[in-house]
Amino acid sequence: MSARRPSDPQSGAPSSAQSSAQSGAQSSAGGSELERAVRRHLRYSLGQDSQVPQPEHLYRALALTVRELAIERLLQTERRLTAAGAKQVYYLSLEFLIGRSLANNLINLGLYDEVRALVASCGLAFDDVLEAEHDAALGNGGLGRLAACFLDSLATLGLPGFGYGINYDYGLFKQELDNGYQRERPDHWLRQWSPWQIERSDELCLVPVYGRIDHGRDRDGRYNPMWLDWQVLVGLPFDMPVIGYGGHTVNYLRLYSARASDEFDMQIFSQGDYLRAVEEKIRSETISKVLYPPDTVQAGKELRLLQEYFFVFCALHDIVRRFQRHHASFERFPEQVAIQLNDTHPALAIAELMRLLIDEHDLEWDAAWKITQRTFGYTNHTLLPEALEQWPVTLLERLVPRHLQIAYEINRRFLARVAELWPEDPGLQRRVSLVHEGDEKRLRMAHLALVGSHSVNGVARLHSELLRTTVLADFHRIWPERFNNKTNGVTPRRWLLLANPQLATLITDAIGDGWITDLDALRQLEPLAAQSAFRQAFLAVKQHNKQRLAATIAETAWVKVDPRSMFDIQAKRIHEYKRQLLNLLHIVYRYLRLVDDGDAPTVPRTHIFAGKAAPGYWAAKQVIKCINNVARQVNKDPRTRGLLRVVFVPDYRVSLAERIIPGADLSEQISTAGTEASGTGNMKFGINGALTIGTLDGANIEMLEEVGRDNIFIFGQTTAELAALRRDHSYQPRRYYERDDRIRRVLDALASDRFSPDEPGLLRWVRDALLDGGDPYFLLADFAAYVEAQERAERHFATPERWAEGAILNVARLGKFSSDRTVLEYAREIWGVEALEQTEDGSPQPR
Amino acid sequence: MNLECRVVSDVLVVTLLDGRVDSGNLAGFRDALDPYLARGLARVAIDLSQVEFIDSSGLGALIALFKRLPEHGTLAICNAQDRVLKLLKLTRLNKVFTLCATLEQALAQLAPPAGASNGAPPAGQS
Repeated sequence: MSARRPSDPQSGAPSSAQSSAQSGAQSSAGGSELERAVRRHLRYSLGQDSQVPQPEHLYRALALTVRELAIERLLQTERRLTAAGAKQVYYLSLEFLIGRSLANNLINLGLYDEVRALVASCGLAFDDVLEAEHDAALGNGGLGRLAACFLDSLATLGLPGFGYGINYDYGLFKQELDNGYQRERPDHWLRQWSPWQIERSDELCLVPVYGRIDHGRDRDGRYNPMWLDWQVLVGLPFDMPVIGYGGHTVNYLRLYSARASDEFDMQIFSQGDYLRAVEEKIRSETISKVLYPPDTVQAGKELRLLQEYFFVFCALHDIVRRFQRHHASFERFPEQVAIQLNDTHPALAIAELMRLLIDEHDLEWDAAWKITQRTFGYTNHTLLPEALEQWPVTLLERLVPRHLQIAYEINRRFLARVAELWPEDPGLQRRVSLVHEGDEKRLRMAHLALVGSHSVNGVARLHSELLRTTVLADFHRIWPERFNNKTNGVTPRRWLLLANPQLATLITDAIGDGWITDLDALRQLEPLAAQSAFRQAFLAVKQHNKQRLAATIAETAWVKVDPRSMFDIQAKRIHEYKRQLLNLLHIVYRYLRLVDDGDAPTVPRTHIFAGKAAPGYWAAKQVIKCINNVARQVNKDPRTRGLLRVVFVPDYRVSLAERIIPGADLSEQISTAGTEASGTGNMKFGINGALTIGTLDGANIEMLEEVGRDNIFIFGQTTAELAALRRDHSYQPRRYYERDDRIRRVLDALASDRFSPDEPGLLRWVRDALLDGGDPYFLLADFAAYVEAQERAERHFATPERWAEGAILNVARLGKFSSDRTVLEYAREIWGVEALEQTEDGSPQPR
Repeated sequence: MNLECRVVSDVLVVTLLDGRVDSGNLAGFRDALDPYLARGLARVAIDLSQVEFIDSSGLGALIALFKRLPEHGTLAICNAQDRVLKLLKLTRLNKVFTLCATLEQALAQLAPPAGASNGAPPAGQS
């Protein structure tokens, strides 16, 4: 595939690939043609007459220009797929954490350098123009970002794969800090229209909701459940083009906005009840108004369930509509359509496809069920019991009575089969039932997803293994063949080529640009890790990235940090299981040794945190306050000058991650073993040349296998060891406090108001929670090992060339963690789809 | 509600003339049909060619009409636009009513077997 990569925007160095084959995108709109298109949009789309446009206006004009190219390619891709009759993949996800699109799209179309020059000719800084774009933060964290990486890989690999989700008006909240506390501010990213969205009002979808089942009879006297008294919403689709690297394939991400059944209910309007009409409209549109933060989901929020139902209904109708354009019967549906459920949020899609096939297309139950099971795949993302969705049956009955009826029938047939096959284990039926019995009956969405799919996968090997042996062990006994693993990955286009242009240039100059679409090619860097010149060049790149990050920190956190110090970074959602608090305990320990014992660290260190806590998650929000209090105390203490800094960078989001990750020396991946499904931050840091300090959890284990024990700092108890502690109730955190002076010293210092002199008792909860709360995430059990691993890292960092060698080997050996590899595994082993190439005569053929 | 009723070969043909049939404009629908049902007409064709949207109240009115017919009565829907057809199938009313593409097909479907009579009085244009 011919492709261009950007040169470094900071250095302005020309791209070594500049003379490589031109991409199709460039040849169709290159040079002055592109400039004319941009000027046309400035004038006629935006009404701007100035010779020196504002960055915001130039961003929009560029985006509109790229959009035209993308739409052209989108239509070409569609024609190619239609001609080939290719099977298509639909990725259903309640979250797509996209971030900014302009730079990524320019890279993938091969226009980055040309546009950068064009911006310069307008007298503007390219970074200012790129930063005029608002992040599309339509996700909370890893699950949503994974979905966005997968779309990039699908298009880059030429696979026919499309995303379906919700077009939230408000994405994940903006985080501000107020006296160290997190404050949430709304993120109205659609306040100004997005140039990336194409409204498809001709393909809107009517969505029935609420109502009741009338148990009637059909013309032949057979039972005929009729869904009556529903209300109707409208799903209005917006397509965002997803441009693959090289610009050959452009797929789409289809996001639905909720609208009232008519722009205004004209009948009510004409009756003079204007306010009622407006209220109806607002109530309907609320459904796509806001992305739910993760903690509020389990409260049984009706609106959240409505969101899940709304988008799967729209998606399924669109998928079936597309299928029916070329097929008269549903027999070949599973050969033409694969639907992947990104976690259980879209699990109602299973009931909806059954309803469609039975109620609207007259299939018999058995035939419909066979089609449904062969169509769906389910990806599990969590082992945490509280994160496994269950919805009250009473709520489902009110909102989607027909779907609940279908889920009950699925369950009845499933349990009858289980009873037939395992009569000796009557408890099995209760355990695997789709319905949780109890004071409040609830539908187990994971069970619905699993029973209705032919494949269930975890997202890292350990996670998949734990699914088989713990939370889904009964299902594994029933259908062992359905279980498989697909270790997550990240797209190297965004997370290396775009985020770290200097490293990308260094790599390409050394081994060529094949790595951009084949990340395993980074293995060719291995021998260079031993070469001093390459190590020096690598360290220079890292230093450059740290300087950029230091500038960002100065602008956003108002702390001056030394780029020569070790940048030790933990950037991810704030959650107890991810153990930001363990990191902080170690910082306090090092601080106390420094200021009380006069024991200075071997190397200066800057501890950097970033991440959002769910608004209703008290403990996580207290951790943020605690970090900020410790940071304030440490940073103002003159004895730490030049040795120790602690920073919390506010409002972590995709565009900030692109700035933070390339500047990391040490990547903190320290979740309690057995809790993190995979993690993808660990991979992003690794391919950007950070060394990981981490537990044997999630994908860390596979990273260890790839990079080797000498190039990663592994510590802590294993999943099995912690399971044993839980099983025999032998873990007593107070014993660690009593026996380990270091732990006692740290916890007592936090409880003593030393870090909260103006807020007495503020941090006492840390000691109370760990000693009296049972320390469920085993911070104290892992503390000693963590300190020891940190000391190893510190010694290692003291020898820069040795550190550089390890960092280069991390880059070289982490090619496995490209989302291209992950998506290819899904394509071959779950979806059964293949890429299409265009032949010279224009006809498509499998790649 | 704006509608037109006529009787063709003992079949009551009701053409709904509003583009949107919902709770706001159902008033009068029942009363408009009363005289015809009182005459014993048991076969009804509803022509939806003008209807772009029908809500669940509108469908409920069709069900109520169906329930008022004599035991041997039948109801056919014809000329439903795609969006309306989807809503009929959504509620599974397609399994209760006969769906026909055209009025002619509906009349043919509703025609009694040769020689049979439903006992209705002679009908004329309404």
